[in-house]
Amino acid sequence: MLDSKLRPGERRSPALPRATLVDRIHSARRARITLVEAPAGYGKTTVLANWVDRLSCPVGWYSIDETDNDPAVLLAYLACVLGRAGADVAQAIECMSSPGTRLAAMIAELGDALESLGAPGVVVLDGVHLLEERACVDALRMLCGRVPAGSRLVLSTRSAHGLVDAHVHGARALLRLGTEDLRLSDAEADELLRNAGLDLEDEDVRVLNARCEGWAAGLFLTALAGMPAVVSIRQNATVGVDRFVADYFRLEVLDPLGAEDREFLRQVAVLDRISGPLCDMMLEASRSGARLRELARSNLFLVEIDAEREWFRLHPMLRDLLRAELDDNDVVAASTLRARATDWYEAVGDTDGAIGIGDRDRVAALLPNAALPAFWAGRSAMLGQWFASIDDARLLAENPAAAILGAALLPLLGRPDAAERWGRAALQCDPNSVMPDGSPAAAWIANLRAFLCLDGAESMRDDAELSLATLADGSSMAANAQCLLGYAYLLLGDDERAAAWFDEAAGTAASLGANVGASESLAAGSLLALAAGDVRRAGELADRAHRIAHEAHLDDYTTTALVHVACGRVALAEGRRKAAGDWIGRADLLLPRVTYALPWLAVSVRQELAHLELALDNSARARVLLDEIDAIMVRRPGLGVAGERMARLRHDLDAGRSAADGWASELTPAELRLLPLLSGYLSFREIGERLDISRNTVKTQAISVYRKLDVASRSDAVARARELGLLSPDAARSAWTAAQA
Amino acid sequence: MTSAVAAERPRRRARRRINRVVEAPAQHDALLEANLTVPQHSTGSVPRTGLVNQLRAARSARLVLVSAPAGYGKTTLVAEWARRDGRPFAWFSVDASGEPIAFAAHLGAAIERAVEGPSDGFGPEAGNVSPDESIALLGRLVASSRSPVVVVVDDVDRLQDSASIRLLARFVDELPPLSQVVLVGRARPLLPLARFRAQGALVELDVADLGFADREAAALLRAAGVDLPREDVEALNAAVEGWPAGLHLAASALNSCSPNGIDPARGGDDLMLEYFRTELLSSLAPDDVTFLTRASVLEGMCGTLCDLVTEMPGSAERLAGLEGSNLFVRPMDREGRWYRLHSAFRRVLALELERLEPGVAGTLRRRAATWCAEYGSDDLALEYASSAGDRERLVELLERSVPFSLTAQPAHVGRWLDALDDATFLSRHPAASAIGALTLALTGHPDGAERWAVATEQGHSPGPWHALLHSLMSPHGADDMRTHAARALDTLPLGSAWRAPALLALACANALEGDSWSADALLGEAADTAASAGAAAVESTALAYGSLLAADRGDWPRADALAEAARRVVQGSQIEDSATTLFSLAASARAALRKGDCVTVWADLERARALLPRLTHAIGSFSVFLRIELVRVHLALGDANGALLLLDEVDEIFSRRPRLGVLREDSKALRGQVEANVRRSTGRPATLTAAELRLLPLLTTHLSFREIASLLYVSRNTVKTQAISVYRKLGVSSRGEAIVRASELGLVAGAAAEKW
Repeated sequence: MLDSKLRPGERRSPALPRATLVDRIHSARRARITLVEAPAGYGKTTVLANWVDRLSCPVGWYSIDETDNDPAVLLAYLACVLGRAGADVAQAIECMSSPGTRLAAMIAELGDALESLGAPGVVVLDGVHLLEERACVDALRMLCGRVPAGSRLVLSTRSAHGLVDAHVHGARALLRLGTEDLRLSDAEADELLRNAGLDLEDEDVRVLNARCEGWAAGLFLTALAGMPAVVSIRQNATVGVDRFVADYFRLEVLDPLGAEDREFLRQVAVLDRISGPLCDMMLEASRSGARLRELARSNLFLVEIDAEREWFRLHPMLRDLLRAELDDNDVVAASTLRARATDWYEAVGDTDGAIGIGDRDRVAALLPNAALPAFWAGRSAMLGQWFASIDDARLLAENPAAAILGAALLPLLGRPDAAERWGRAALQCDPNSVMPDGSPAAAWIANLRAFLCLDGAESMRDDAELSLATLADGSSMAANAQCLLGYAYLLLGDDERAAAWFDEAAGTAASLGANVGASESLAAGSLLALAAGDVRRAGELADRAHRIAHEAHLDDYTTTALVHVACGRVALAEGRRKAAGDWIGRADLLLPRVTYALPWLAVSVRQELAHLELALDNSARARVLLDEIDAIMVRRPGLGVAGERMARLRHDLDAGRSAADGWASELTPAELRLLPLLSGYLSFREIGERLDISRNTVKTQAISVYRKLDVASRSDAVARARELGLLSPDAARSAWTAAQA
Repeated sequence: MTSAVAAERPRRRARRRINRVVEAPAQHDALLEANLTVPQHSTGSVPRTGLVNQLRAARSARLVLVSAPAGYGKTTLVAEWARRDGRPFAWFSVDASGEPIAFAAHLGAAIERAVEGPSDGFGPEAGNVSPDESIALLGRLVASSRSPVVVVVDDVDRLQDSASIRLLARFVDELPPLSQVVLVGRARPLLPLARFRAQGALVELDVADLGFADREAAALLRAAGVDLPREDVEALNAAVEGWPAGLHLAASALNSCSPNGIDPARGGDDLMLEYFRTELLSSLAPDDVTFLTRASVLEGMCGTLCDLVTEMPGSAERLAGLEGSNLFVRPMDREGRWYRLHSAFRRVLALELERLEPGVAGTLRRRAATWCAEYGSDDLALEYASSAGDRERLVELLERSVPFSLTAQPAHVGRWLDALDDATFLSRHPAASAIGALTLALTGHPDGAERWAVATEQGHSPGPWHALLHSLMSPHGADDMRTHAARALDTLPLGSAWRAPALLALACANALEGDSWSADALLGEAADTAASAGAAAVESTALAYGSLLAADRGDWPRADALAEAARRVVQGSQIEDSATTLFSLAASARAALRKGDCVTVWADLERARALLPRLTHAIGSFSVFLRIELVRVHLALGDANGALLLLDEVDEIFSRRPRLGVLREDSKALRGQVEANVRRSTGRPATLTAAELRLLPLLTTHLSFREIASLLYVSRNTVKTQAISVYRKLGVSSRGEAIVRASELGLVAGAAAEKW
């Protein structure tokens, strides 16, 4: 008999922190049976061994290996283990050593021995998934039924075994810990990484743990691989997984599978979400559903994602490993599989799913139909990924509709740089080709021209009118064209027509379900109503705009800045200064993304914000905003009356120079731009991302702010800035509220 | 006493059992004796103290794996460890794969010998023991030792049958605490290493650890009687990548011929060929040999690339297999996708390829170029195409390259372009010749650039490329520059990335004619166009140019912002070594100057100095403009000599490009200032300190010294002292004069005064 198999936790990982789970097992004293079920590397053995260390009662530990799948071997070890747990096994041993005894009799003897345990004892059987022989399984099942009160039988297994059934044993007598329970929290992951000699920032730990999905072995092996592996996960830069993790998967998951199953997994790994019918079509096979269920039962790295056991997914690291293997070995096969999967999704009418497969040519062809609904539904992150995946000159040239949509939507998603390239590709397409909504390409192109506003307000108006005249009936672009026409008239100083078009646009957008356009048009209408002195109507419109934006989860959309500003101005007009400050804070958070690529929006939002800041005696911020408008107008000249309005604002500003100005002028524009963000909840890194500057620059600027305000910390700086009137009183709170929302 | 007795009993019993187990025919005895001894210290070997210490420190790992190809000194290292470690070392060299029971018995014999001293050998008794039993026995044997035992299994890759491997793996599990198993072999053994690794129970040493550092290489060569200068040792060690056997071979080659007649870096290639043939290639399967020789044309290998180049499917798995068996195939990433060959091995394989499949290398490289152009990097594609002598492909690749991306690697560019340098060929490819000319111009080859430019003009119709080239190289002044840039923009297709440099040229022409605002707008467009084409060189230049123009206009915030943007673009790309970063450096230096950050200023100037020789009269107006900006910086620092040096270079350019208009005036005026400065200062370099530079902008305001002092948190006296020092260094006597001088020098702007 091998001593190492009977030593508790010979194979535990000392680096793994598991105190919480140990407590949980320890306190479940009434559970006669404890079942720990999770795939390889989740730390099952370590949890149990750490728990056993704590016990004062006799413990029998048994690490089962491949050679134990033989009743004779198993029963001998079991007898020994039960003996160590305090059972009287003399009779069982005698029965086993006498020749001719039937297996069933030996098993029954062991059961008697267990049942007769006098004092409480604990028996741990580690790795019972290795037992497949009928007699071995029978022995286990019988033992499960004969644990006396006070004693505990603990089983750990990789696969969902049919051994234990809550109905039979009663829910109270059974403690069941699954993969979910064994997943490491971020704090535990951090501790594990540090024990393995890798001290990371919280953000990196979070990213790493998300990638590993709390899988301890994945984290530990990545830590052993060292910083380069972490960096490549953080940057999402490489395809495939680190070689330590790959080795582990091959040894513990893939090698034990048959060649056929291995190939099956490798092929289905091109899918993020896997289902039987989808696999049948993709692999031109049948009964894939049953096969998936079977694999999921024995290998928990393939998990169900719905209760009906229809959809599955692979652990992301295993999926990426298999994907890389397929791509490295056979590019053609991989693309065939992707094409078929796309076909399937299209056949069932799930365009998002079809795009999600990532067959780039197909994505480019499908995007025009899916982009606007996704945008309206507030799924901006996903939309950004879709567009990024087809960012390629050839694809854009072949798919003008996708290029036009990208050129218009990317700036709204905070990517002004990409928009120009897309725009150029879009403007070159054949104006007579037909777009997905049945309009001629010329209509879409005119729409895009108006949107980009490259040649000033008058061209914008002409383009928007042309687009509106040529768009097919019921086109989803109509609301957009009307809204742009409203902006064009606004820039040309014709407020009346502007208001009429915004009104029209709001109606059209609402009927199309275009939440973004609806809230934006309503907000613009509200601002115009305010300018006309109708505070009540302005209030109504702003309120509706906000409600639409909020309910559609558009709070971090670029266009929502206008909604916040409109609400702010209404609040001010109604004398609610504090609320106005709140709205300013929320608009400020979005401001860095409202760039020159959206000149009409960028200028409008900043002008209105400048008005607000001025009214709240915050002239320094107003000045920064005006400077920003200047910079936009250098790049996008000809914005109609915007120039005059600016001049008026500047005049107001100079007339009302406040005492705080001395301080304000000492802070550079960059520092002033930073101030409202400092009062928010964002970390330096996040602020850097918003402002598109490095974390270090933010830090340098912040320190410079502290020095100039003669304070030592961020919070002191905010307090002092508020005293000096550099910051509207409640920017911090509003930033916080925005974060909560 | 009692514990010793207690330990003795199971040990005896275990030995008796084991002795019964082994069937050891008499002729095995001698063999076994050699296999069970720790190898003797070979004289002349280099001590590996660092590695041994690392091994001695890793006591908590139950399993140590030392794996590397032949000739890496694996056994020598472990033997050295054995001598220096206090614990008993049991040593067993696997000679051939046998029965697991025999393997267990041999292991047992080795352990017993280590624990007790020399054993009296095995009796020819036969027995019947299960693998489990033998593991238990071995475990107990180790446990019976008074101190922890280290069990070394050398040549473990010879252990092939799965039963023995399983037995070994379970023996590792069975080890008592602090005892270790050390596996030494050429290939990674088939044990479940990943499991031990995940338990934190595995320490691995591989080629990366075992390769010799330069210092160790020098010691080895000295011991072999070869005394080389340090650079040669480093070159040789780099050529063999720290492979000790390679160093030995090189040493014998060097010893056998005159020291001057041999290139140290290639020393011993013949011997290595011999070595690799006998040690490696002969034992490989024929298709592995074919694969490796064909793959020898590749810098880096991945599955699909090798599939295409070698025309042998399944390369990804083959590569992984070759890497696992340590056949001088090294991973290049951690994901197991890219591999490369050991450079010495690769040289040898290339020779083999020529012998086995003469003339095929060109075809293979051409295929590699095709793959890289489709999936990989253009640089590599260019490299393969040029080494294949595939001119059509080279031209195609040049034409689709990102503008000026090639200027960052002058060394390679020369080689690529040489392959095309043929007037009649070039005249048929105006785009390629224009791009080549510009690349040469920016890598410091003005003559080559002009020759290529002539070839561009000889094309049938003077198309966009001729215009673009002419606008950037601008031999005839600003007017000419504008005309050609405009024509280039009219004729270049809308989506072309080369519109960005054309816009840059147009902006430059406008700036030269004094129209800073138009220039600014054009530069913005150039930057956007370049950014969307991924042309970092052009983008950073456009931004930096804008920054310099903004500074000249006195728009400091904009100048600072653009300089920072340019700097970020340069940092985010790999163009730091390109002449195109000069503009970003100049903008950064001027911005730093305004902030009084002298350290940055000097660092920027130094980097600029290193790159400046590449910016010649070939692109005259840019060269002059940039140097004038740098002159201003030198002047502001009071470094008259540096300024004069640059102005001389400017004059040199003017002598070749006499029609550069407004810049000529600027340079004259600057020369006047510099000379006046030299006269005024009494020969002592009068550099403004950081504090003085910080003070300057405040001097231009209405603030009194006292107010300035309170702003800067210094005393009034300090401000006064600094101000007087500024006056002296600027050669003036009053605050008013100082401001005038400072704005002449570009240290402060007129507009700044309003801000305060």
